[in-house]
Amino acid sequence: MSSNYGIGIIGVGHDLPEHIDTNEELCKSLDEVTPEWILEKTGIQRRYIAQEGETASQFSVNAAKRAMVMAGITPDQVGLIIACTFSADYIFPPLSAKIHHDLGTKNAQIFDIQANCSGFVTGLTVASDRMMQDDSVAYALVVGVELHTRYIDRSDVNTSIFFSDGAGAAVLAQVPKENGVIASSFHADTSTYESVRFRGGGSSFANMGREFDPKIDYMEMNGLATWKQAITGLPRVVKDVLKKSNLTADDVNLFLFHQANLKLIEYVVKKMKQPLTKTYTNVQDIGNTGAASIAIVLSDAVEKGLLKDNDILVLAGVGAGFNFGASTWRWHGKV
Amino acid sequence: MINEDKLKEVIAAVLAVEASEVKDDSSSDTIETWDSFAQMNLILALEEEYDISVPDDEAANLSSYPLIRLVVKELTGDE
Repeated sequence: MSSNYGIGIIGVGHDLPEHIDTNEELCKSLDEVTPEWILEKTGIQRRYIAQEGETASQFSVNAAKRAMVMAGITPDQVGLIIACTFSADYIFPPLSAKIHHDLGTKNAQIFDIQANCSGFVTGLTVASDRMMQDDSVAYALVVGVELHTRYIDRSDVNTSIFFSDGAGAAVLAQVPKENGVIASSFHADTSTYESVRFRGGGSSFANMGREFDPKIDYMEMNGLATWKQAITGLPRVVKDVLKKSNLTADDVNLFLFHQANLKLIEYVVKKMKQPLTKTYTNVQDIGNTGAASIAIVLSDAVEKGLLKDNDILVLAGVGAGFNFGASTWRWHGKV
Repeated sequence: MINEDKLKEVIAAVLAVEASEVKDDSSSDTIETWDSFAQMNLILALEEEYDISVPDDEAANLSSYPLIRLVVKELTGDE
C-alpha cells in the first residue's frame, strides 16, 4: 500500500534495574568459569537483574514515558501499544494492557508479540504496517521488555552469563514520505526449534499439580546450535532487507543488532566488509536483554547522538525458534 | 594450486597453535582451541587471505581442515 506519508521513530527510551551483576559476582555461582573467560567468550562484563517486587510492566512504563517525552506526546495520543516479550507480568492479560492502564492511555489498540529476541524488530514492523493502513493511528508505542533472570538458573553457564533484564520503547509517528521505515525482512529456520526453550508454564508443561522441576522450569540454551543459527541467518536477513531497500551495506550509517554476544556482532559486521565503527554495542555493559535489547541499544545510541537526520539505520535480530528479522530506516528523529 | 602449508599457517595463527599441529585430518574435535569463536575468526581470516567470500550457510560448518581445503579451493577456482 502506498501512502503519502512515512512511518518513523520519533522517540525512544529505556529503563534498567538498579542491581548490577558483575562477572565476578556471577562466578561465585559458577563452577570452573572465570570472569576473564566470560569476557573473552561473550564480551559481556555485567548484567542487570530485577529485584523482588520489580515488574516487567514497571520497566516498560518507565521506558515508554521516556520515549513519549522525547516524542513530545501524551498517553491519550497513543493509538496502538505493542509489548514484545515472553516474560510479561502475567500469562494474560497481555502486558500491553497493563502498560495501557498504567500510562493512563484511553483508546489504544493493545496486543503482545512473542518473537523472543526478534520481538522488537517484529513489533516495529507490525506497528508501522498498521499505521500505513490506518491513518487514524497517529502514534504507536512499541515496547521490548524481558525479565530473563526470573527464569534462569544462575549455576547454568549456558544461560546465566548472557541474560539480563530491562526494557526499551519507541514511539512511531507519521513522518515525511521519504523518511522512516524503508523495508523489513523476516525468515525462520525451525530445524533446531528446541535449542533455546523455556517450557515451564506452557500448556504442555502446565504448572498445575506439579512440583518445580529445574529441567522444565528454567530457560535452556544449546549454545552451539544457537551460534550456528545466528552466524548463518543473521547476515542473510540483513542482506535480504538491504536488497529490498535497494541499498548496499556501504549505504548504511549504523547497524544495530540484537545484543546477544559482542563477538557475534563483530563477526557479522566484518563479514559484511564493514568497519566496526558502523555499529554500536552495549552488550558489554548490559548483557542480553532479549526482546528489549534492540530497543535499548537504539535508545542508547540516540542518547549518544549517533543518529542524525537522513542516516540509514539497520535493525536486525535473531530469536529462539529460530526467527530472524531486520528493518531499514531513514532516520527522522523529529516531526 | 593453493599452497596447503600456507593454508595451515593461516588456520594455525587463528587457533593459536603451531602450524605443524594442523594435520590433514584436523578438526574442531582434535584441536582444543577450535571453538565457535575461533571459527568466526577463522572464516574472516580465510576471506582476507584468499580474497573470497565464504557463503553464510557454510561458515559454521567449515570445522575441519579437509572441508576448509575443499571450500577454499572451490572459491578460489582452484579445483
